[in-house]
Order: sequence, then C-alpha cells, then structure tokens
Amino acid sequence: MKKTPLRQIAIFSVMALLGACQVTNSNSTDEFQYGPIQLDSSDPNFAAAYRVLQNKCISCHTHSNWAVYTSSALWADESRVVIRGDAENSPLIQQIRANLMPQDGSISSSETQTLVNWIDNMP
Amino acid sequence: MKFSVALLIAFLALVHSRPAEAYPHFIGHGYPSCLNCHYNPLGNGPLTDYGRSVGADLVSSGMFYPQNWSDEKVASLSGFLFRTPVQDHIRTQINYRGLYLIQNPGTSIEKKQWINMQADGQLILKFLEDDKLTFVGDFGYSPPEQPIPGEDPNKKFRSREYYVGYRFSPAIGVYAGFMDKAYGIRVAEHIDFNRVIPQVTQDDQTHGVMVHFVNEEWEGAVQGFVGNLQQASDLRQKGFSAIVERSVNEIHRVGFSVMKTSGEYLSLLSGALHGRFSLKDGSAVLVELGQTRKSTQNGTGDRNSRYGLLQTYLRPIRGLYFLANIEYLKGDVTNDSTTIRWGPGVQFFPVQKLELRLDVDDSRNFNPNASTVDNWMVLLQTHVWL
Repeated sequence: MKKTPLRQIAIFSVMALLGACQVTNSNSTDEFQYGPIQLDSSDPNFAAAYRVLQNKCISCHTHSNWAVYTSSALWADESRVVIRGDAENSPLIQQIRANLMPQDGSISSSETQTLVNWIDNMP
Repeated sequence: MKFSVALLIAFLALVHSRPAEAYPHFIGHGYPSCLNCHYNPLGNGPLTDYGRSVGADLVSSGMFYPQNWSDEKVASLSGFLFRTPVQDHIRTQINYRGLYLIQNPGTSIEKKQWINMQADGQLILKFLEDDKLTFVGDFGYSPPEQPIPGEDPNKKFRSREYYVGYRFSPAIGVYAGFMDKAYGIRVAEHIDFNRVIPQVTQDDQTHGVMVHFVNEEWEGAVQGFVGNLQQASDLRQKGFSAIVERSVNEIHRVGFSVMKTSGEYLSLLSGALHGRFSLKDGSAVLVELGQTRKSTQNGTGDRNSRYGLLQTYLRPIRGLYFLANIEYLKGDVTNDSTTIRWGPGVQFFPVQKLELRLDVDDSRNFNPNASTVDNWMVLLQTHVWL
C-alpha cells in the first residue's frame, strides 16, 4: 500500500472551496422576474418595450438573466441581442422577423414595432 | 503524481464547464440502479471503480484494442490516467465534455459555436468496509455566461456537488451536503430543455439531506433541502423532493417523483411519472411525463406547465447507440401553444474514456393562431473522462 497522496487532497480541497464562489442558477434572477420591478425611466420608450420583452421573451428565457436588465443601457451593453440605434441588425429583431422567436409565434406586428421603435431611438 | 496534478490544473485552466450527465439508458445493459456505477445513488457525478471498468469493457466498442487484450487487461486501465489504483481510500477523476453547436444551419442567421459543457475535477474519499463512508467533491471551471447583478463576474469556478454519504447497509444510505435534487430522469437533452421547468438543471444543486433505499423490487430517495446556501437567502428554494421506482419483470423500472420548493419570490410544485425499459443487449427506452405549477410573488409568471420525454437507444453493436429523442413542452396548459423538440442521434464509445456523439434537433412550436417555423440544431459532442 502506498503512502496517502496528501498534496493531492490539499489541492482538491482548496479547489472545492474556491468552487463555492460562482452560484448562478435558475433562481439568480427571481427577484427581478417575480418581485417588484423598478424600471429605469431615463428612456421614455423603455417601459412599453419592457412589457413586450417580459411577456414575449423573458417569460420563456427564464434561464437567461434578461430579467435583470431593467434599463435600456443594460440591454444595449450586456444582452448581446440589442444593437443601440439599429433594430434591424439586432439579433432580437432578426429572430422575430424570421419567425424563429417567440417560438409560439404570438408576437403581434404592433408589439414588434414597439421593440423596433425602442431600439432605433435608444439614447 | 506531479504530472497528474499539473495535467489537471492545465486542463481546468483551459476550459469552462456546464452540465454533468448520467446514462439511465444503461438499464438496457441490466443496470437498473445507478448505484452500481456511481457514488451518487441517483446517478451523475464520479464513477465507482466498478463503473469505470463497465465503461471500459461493456460500454466501449473494443474494436481498437489489440486482439490479445482480455477484458481484465482493458479494465485494469480504467483507473485515473489509465492507471490501476494502488490504494483503497482516494480516487480522482477528470471529466471534459465539449460541444460544437450549429444553430439554424444553412440559413442567414446560422450560428456556430464551441461550448465547453463540462470541465470538472473530482475527489472521492472512501472508508470502512465496502466503502460505507464516502466523501465526494466536484470542482469545475464554469464562468457565468452573462453577468448577474450582485454577483462577482470574476468568480469563474464552481462546485456542483460535495457531500458525505454513509450506507448503513447495501439497502439504505444517508447523504448530506450539496447535490442534485432527487427528481425525475437525468439525461442531458432533458436537462437542457424540459428540466428548466421544475428547476432541476445542471446548476440547481441544493444543500440538504437525502435518504436512499434500494432492494430487489424498489428503489427511491427522499430529500429535504434548504436551497443553495452560497446564494442570497431570499433566492434559496427550500423544500423537499422524492423519487420512487419499482422493478417490473426485473429488467424494467417505473416510478414517480414529487417536489415542492419555495423561496421569497417563487414557489414550485412538480410531479412526474417515468419509466425506463430495457430492450436487452444495451438497448432501452426512457419515458417521462411531468407537470409543474409555478406561483410568483408579482403574478407575472403564474402558470401550469406540462412536459414529456421519449428517448430510445438502439445498440446494433458494442459501443454504438442510435438515438431517437422526442420532447414535448406546453409552457402554459391554458393556451394553444405546444413545443416539440425531436431528432435522431448517434452515440459512439470507440475506446474507454471517450464518447463521441452527433445529434440533430428540430424545435417546432405548434400554435393554430400563429405562423411558426422549424428551429434546427446540429450538435457534435466529445466527452473525455480520465
């Protein structure tokens, strides 16, 4: 029987402790999705757009963190689906135009236009 | 030893991780219980020595081994870094799973990406007669895909399980620590898709205590949990879950799961029926039907969702499995919209410690009130375990 590899145990133990750091899971955005929502009011088009996003996008994409983007700036800077001032080249609008999203096809043309208007006129 | 550790560190530094995977279809090989091959009696996580030797002999094709190698010779290479363990109390493992994903192939919005699904190192300590007492720890490189407010984006490692297990007898054991919830069938496609609904995905482990029992006819587990204690207290989902299976004709299993969880903003009540049926010689069928009721504090997400899984594995020759996967999702049982994801696949284990897989998936929503299209995906997976 060989000696116990203590160094191996020590390295793995340290790694296990470090591993406790990142905790993102299905509930990380619960407060934003299901708690009281406070939207940034600096963009006058955002509130209407967020209602569409909430009902047509965020409600299914629960495993993304879109729910926490409560300002236009966060959508433009973090989401990777919105290009400020360029709706037609934004992946969000491209997916809708191609009838790929929302998967149940339930978004209306006026709701799509609300999103286009929001992105094209983002401050 | 130095080489092993250096290799592990280099490996973990290069990649980042996501889901683990179990193989409940191995009921087709005569293994109805996960306990034979995994330290976690409900599957997932590191393999036992026996599980490693099964992976080397029964599961892999054997066609690339020298003809004069016996099964014993092949199994003797199934240990960490192809070595035979020289002591009884410590085991280490490494898992890497990479995915080349092509979304909407051949269209103007085609997207190709490489995803490091899993890059974990695992440590197992085992003591007492028949390894009654075990400690299992898992660690992987897994940066968050997008920053979450309130969480440090520089924290890129995570542990998906660490627990202590004690088996009072082969029939009953207690496990305490951080682990997956005892609920339903754990296969990767299902975890990526329908298991988002009851929140039993690759990142939804919880701190708790689980009692597991098994005999010739019955197997099950009851788990009480307090949520992920590393997470803010208002986000933790506390509750309980249970899974029970009964053997049918010794080679099949049918069962059910229930789960109730609640936090400050969200409560879930889930139930599922499932079956795992052996077609013998390694072929199998998996079935699950479930429903989840979601209640939210602000009412925006209140709904009942229903889901289903039908997956077949046909094994024409050793090491090769042809798959057919059909998943059903009704996000809200009160509306007309239903999503079906279906497609064929091939799973191949050419040699021990290597799995190659090709899947083609189409997701399509069926809604009589709207125009919808097919969402095609091609998935090429490589899985290496050392």
